[in-house]
Amino acid sequence: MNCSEFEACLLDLVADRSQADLVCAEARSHASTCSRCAARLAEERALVAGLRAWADSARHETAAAHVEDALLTRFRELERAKAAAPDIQSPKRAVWKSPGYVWLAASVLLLVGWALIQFTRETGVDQAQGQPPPKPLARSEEKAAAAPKKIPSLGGVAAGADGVGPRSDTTHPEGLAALPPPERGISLKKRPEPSSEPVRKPVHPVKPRPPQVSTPVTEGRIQYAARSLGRNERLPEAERTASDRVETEFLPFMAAGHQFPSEQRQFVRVKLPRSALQVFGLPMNMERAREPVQADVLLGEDGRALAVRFVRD
Amino acid sequence: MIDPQTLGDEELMRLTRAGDEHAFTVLYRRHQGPVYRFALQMSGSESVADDVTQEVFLALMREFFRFDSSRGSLAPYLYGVARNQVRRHLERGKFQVPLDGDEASSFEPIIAPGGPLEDLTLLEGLSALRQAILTLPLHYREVVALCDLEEMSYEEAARSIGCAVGTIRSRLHRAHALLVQKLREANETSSGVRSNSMRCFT
Repeated sequence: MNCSEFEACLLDLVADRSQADLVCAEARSHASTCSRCAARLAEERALVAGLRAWADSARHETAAAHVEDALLTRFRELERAKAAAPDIQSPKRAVWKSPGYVWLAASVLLLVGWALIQFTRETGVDQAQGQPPPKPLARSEEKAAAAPKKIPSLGGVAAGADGVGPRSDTTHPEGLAALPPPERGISLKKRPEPSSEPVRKPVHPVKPRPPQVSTPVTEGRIQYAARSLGRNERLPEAERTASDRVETEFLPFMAAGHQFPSEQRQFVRVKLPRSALQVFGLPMNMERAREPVQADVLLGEDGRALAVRFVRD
Repeated sequence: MIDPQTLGDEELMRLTRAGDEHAFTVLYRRHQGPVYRFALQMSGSESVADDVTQEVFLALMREFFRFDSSRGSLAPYLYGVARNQVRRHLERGKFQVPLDGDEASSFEPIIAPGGPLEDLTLLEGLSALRQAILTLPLHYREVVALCDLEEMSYEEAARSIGCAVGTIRSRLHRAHALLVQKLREANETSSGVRSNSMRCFT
C-alpha cells in the first residue's frame, strides 16, 4: 500500500467502517513504516475524537419551547380551517388530479365507448339476420322490402316501411280524435346524414318488427338521439334525400291501446295542425303555429289508426 | 388505548394527517432535536436553528403528502427539508449585518489549543473545531454535520442530501482534510511557527 491508497482508506480506518480487515491491516502496516502517514492517522483520529466529543456535548440541545407552542397553534388553526372548509383539496385528490391519472381515465373511457359502439353494431346486425322470414306484406311494404332495409334499431316499426309509405295531404280524422294523454313523454331521434358509401343488402330479408311503443318519460323532457350507421346499416335510397331529419317514436292512440298486433299494416304520411304537438307534450314554435306538421300514421289491417309519429324534415 | 410514544413514524404521520394533535406532538418531540442540532451546526446560530426547526415542521404539517414512506424513513426527509431551509437562511444572512452582541461568536477567530490538533476534546479545542466547521463550504459542512455529528450512515446522508454515496464519501474525506488544515493553520498563526505539510504521497 502506498500513501495515496492509505489516504483513500483513512476515513474508514479511523471510523472503523472498513469491512475488509485485510485493507485495514495493510493501512496500519503502512502507517508503521511511513512517519507522515502515521502523523496523518493521528491527526485524523484527533479530529474524529473532537467531532464525537462535540456531538456528545450537543446531544441534548433542543429547539426552544416557543417553537413547539407556535407549531401547535398553527396545527390547530389548520385543523379548524379544514373543518370549516371540508372541500379543501385533500392530498389524495391531488394525487388523482395528476396528469397520469387523467390520461388513464380518459383512455379507459375511450376504450369503453369504443367497445359499446362495436357491441351495439354487432347486436343490431345479429338481430336483423336472426329474424324469421317475413309475412306477406302490404303493397307499400313490398316496395320498401325490395329496397335495402334499415337497421332494426332505427325506430321500431319504421324498419322497412317508414318514409316510403303513401303520402296524404289530408288531416287524419282519427289522429286528432284519439290523442294520448298530454303527460306522455316522447323521445325524438335524429337521423344521420346520408352516407355516400354504397348500399349493401343484408344477407336475409328483414321482417318488419312490431311497432315499438315509446316509453313514457317525465313531462317536458325530450331525448334527442343522434345515431351513426355502420357499414351494414345503410338507409334506403329514398331516405337519403331526407337530410337532418328528426322523428319521434310511435305514439299509440288511446283507442288502439299499447299493443300492436304483428299483422299487416300501413303507414300514411299526413299533415296535422302544429297544435297537435302540444297535445302530445312536445314543444311548439308559436311563430309557426299556422304551419302544419308532418306525421306518419300507423294503420292496422282494418284501416284503424294505431299510432302516430311526428316527422321533421 | 395505544400510547403514541410507542408508535412508528408512519403511524404517527397517519394520525397527524387525521388531525391528531397528540400524534403531531410526539412526532415533533421525537425529531426536533436532531433537526435543531443539524441547523445549529450548519448555521452556528441558535435563533436560525429555532427558525429552521419551526419551518421544517410547518412544511411537514402543510404538505404531508410530499413525504413518501416507500422512499425512506422520516428522519432523512426532515434533514433534507432542514438543509434547504438552512441554505435559504444563510443566503438571506449574506445581506444582513449583525447588531452588537448578536451572535458575534461566529466571527471570532479560530484559536486552536496548544499543539496541532493536540486535544480537540477540551473546551478550547471544541470551540476551535466548531469555528473551523463553520468556515467550511456548505456542501462540506453538511456532510460533517450529518455523518460525524449526527452519526448518520453514508447511505442515509446520501438520501438526505440527494446525491450518491460516493459523493458523500469523497466530500467527507475532503472536509476532514480541510478541517485538519484549518486547525493546523490556526495553531501556526497563534504560535507563529509554520511547519511543513503533513501530507505525503510517496
